[in-house]
Amino acid sequence: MKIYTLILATFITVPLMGQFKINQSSGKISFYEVNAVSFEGHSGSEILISPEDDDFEKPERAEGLKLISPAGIVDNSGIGLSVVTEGSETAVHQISSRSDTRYTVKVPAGVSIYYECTTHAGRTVMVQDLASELEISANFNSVELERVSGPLAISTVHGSIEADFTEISQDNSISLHSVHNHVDVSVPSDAKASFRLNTSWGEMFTDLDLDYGQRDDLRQISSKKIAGKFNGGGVDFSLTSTHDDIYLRKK
Amino acid sequence: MIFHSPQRTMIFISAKNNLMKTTIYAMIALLLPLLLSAQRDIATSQSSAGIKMLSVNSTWTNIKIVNWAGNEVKVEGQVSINNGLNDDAYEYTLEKRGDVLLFESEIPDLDDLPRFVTYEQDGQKIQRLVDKDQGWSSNDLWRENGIAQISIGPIIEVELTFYIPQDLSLQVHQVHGDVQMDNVLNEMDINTKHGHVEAIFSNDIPEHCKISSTHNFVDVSVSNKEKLDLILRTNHGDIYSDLNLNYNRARCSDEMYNSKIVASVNQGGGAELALTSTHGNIYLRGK
Repeated sequence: MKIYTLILATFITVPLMGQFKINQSSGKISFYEVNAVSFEGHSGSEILISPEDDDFEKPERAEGLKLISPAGIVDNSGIGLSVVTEGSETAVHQISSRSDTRYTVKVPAGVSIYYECTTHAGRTVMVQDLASELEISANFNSVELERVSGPLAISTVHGSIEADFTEISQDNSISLHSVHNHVDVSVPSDAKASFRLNTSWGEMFTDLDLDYGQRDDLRQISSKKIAGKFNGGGVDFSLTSTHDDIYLRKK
Repeated sequence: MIFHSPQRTMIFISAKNNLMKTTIYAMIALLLPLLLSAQRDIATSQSSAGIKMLSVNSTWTNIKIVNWAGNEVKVEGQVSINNGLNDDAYEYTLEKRGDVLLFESEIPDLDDLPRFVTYEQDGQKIQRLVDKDQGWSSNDLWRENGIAQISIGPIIEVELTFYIPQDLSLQVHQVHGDVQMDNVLNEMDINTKHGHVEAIFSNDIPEHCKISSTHNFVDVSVSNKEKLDLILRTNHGDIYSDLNLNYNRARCSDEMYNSKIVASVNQGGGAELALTSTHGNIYLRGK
């Protein structure tokens, strides 16, 4: 069955002059150890992957050969990536772990995204105009999100997270966690969310009028954990920076 | 002064303050057209009787290796240093040490040789003799002419072909210079520091074959029918192939700066082929 699916995948994936198309408008696409990626939402029914500024250059000497890796994966896309689709799920691996090629990935709204990068070659993940669900698990990448709505689950050890929300989706929770760098978030002034802010060694700054609720017992004012509702509350929205500051702004 | 060589090369001689130096440089310049086509022929040989290994330890030499049916190792080629000005600066020996035949080459007075800067401008290759006492640097040329890519140093062109019997094992250690092998069937251990290695094994391949370059690429072609056990390794480069590899995953390594592929081709059990390029790419082709 898997063989048939893979054969099918070869028919629905088309390399086109530096751009790779996947006929997929639902399900999930996962990126593993692809060092530099920019995700963009789009209204089409295909996933489009292209090296930014055509900066994926195969050496002339490699004409007729394929880039291969110790993991046994090969460049079947012609742009330095292994792309394998099984059913409604696509897995993308970068062949060369040291490559600095940045890939722009345009994703239909119905496709959720998973991104994982563990090495220090990981560069800032750029996200724009995305309506899809996005999960990022990174060690070194920073994450910059522009005009997003969620749901989001972003976790990075060494990178920062900066996010500009056009609205806050009430479909599922949002979490933005960095261990060693700052988290900076802007939300619309009329958005609804139940915020939880948490830092151990940093500070928290906000201009939002958060409702901390009525409590009968004493509030631990030295705590660096805050839970507050904004505009009456809404989806769970967690911001954590263990060693750095948290900034929560309204637009 | 400017001279045009048949290769559309322009040679400039720097005339600075010192009159004597200027005179010497001018005389050299006057002789350059005569010397431009000059090169020194190399031809030497040694019997391979009683020899088990040929060891080549050389620098500033592009080496081509071929098998032949003769019962001696023969080395032929040409040397051109500074367009014929300093051909005698290249020294070499081919001598027996026990059961090893050792070829060694060097340019012992390299630092004392005249230096040229070489660059391209307006489609022309320009070679400019410089007075190193003037403290000339690439920045001067960049500032004067907007040239960014130049090379500085003696112009060294040494091309040698080694004709070797098949029954010797072969060991090559090169510093500067490329290695090319056409259907060489000797057991081999080839290493270059700065040069690349190109090897073609059209029909057969030696049982043990180890080829590496530190800073340049390794390009090997083998027969598609060959049974191979492969180890392909690079730290900073990429690996390309069109062979159908059967990976030994347990022995492969996919770390950030350590890519090692252990695999077999055509079920393996044949020749052991180890290719390494620390900073360059590896190309393994099936023919």
